[in-house]
Amino acid sequence: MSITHHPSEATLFAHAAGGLPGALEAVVATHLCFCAACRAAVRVADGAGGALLEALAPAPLAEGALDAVLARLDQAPPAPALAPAPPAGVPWPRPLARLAHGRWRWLGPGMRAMRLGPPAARGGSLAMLRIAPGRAMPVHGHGGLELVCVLAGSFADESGTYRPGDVSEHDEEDRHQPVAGREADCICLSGTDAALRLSGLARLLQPLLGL
Amino acid sequence: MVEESRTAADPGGLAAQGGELAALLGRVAAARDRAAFAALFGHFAPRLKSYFQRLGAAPAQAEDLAQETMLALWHKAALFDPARAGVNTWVFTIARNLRIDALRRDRFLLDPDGIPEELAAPGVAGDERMAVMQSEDRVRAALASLPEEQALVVRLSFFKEKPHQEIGRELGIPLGTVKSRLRLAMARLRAALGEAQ
Repeated sequence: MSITHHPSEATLFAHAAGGLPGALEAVVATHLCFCAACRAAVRVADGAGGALLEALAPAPLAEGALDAVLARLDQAPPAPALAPAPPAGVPWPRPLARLAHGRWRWLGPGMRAMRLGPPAARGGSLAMLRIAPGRAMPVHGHGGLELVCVLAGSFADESGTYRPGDVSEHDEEDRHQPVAGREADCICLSGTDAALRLSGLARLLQPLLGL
Repeated sequence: MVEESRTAADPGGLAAQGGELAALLGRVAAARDRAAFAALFGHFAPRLKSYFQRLGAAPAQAEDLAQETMLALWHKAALFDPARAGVNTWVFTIARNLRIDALRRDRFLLDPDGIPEELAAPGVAGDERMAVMQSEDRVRAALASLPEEQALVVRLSFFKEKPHQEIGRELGIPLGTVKSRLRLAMARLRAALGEAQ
């Protein structure tokens, strides 16, 4: 599978640093499942993080810190939380396995959205979008950063055609209108760190849908 | 300017020897060796506390997180693969993921282990395992050789909660300039490590 659209290096560094809001992190992690080139870039950025950690001036620990940890070594590590069942019929990348999800909701003609992650999250909003073949998505601008990773089908905008694994990255300066490919429903994961600025019908519905 | 210290907290100079750290970690994994763990603790725990404090944790919380990271190191030691990452890098990723889970207020529960990892880096032959082991030295050297304006945005990326916007504001440069410096820095680091673009 060949990936032609990638997150910016700034976004990959932010991922490596652990500084991305959860909704954006989810999209980057999904892209990394598809993209060996970005996994290699992230290894490089992780390496920079390792080098920076090593170069930090050590902060003295409290008296007895080592003994406190040694005394806990034999305790079993906490078991990971049980994952909710993913919805049927939707590609569900592994990094999303622990995320709660809502139901498909009508967003407009030929458009449905499923909210992922906690309600009213501070980490932006994350949604799975399902767009009918050939359907144009609402024109929108961005209050912050928007990352969209295609999981099935395709969409196209001024910057090119996006196929499974491809990521589109837009910030506050951009406005765009993606159009779903004609071959099949386009299913994509969309994360933002701020509210999208939608125009038209979808703008009226935005508060109802919580997008 | 990446090098900030080599101090009395690390008298053995373990930091200079990635191989030594890997050997200690190997003994933890294979033999549950507490003395080796204590040596790793002496090296990493004070740096981890420093890392968490840099990112805004109060001293007591930073101390807790440093201890939790060392516990995670003990439990995950068998998963460390020296062909894939250096010890500093591996410990850094554990600390980063733990901090995300502990401090992130947005409660997005992602699964960092859900991202597949290459068994060996693409195009890397088995006899290049040593090259990967030594790559931390090369990353260090490559970071030190970056132009200061690029090194600065990389450092700030790792020590800020909202890298893009805050770094730009702090340095008084546009967001686009922050991004282009990070792009250049990534290209240089990748070239220094022999990673194809």
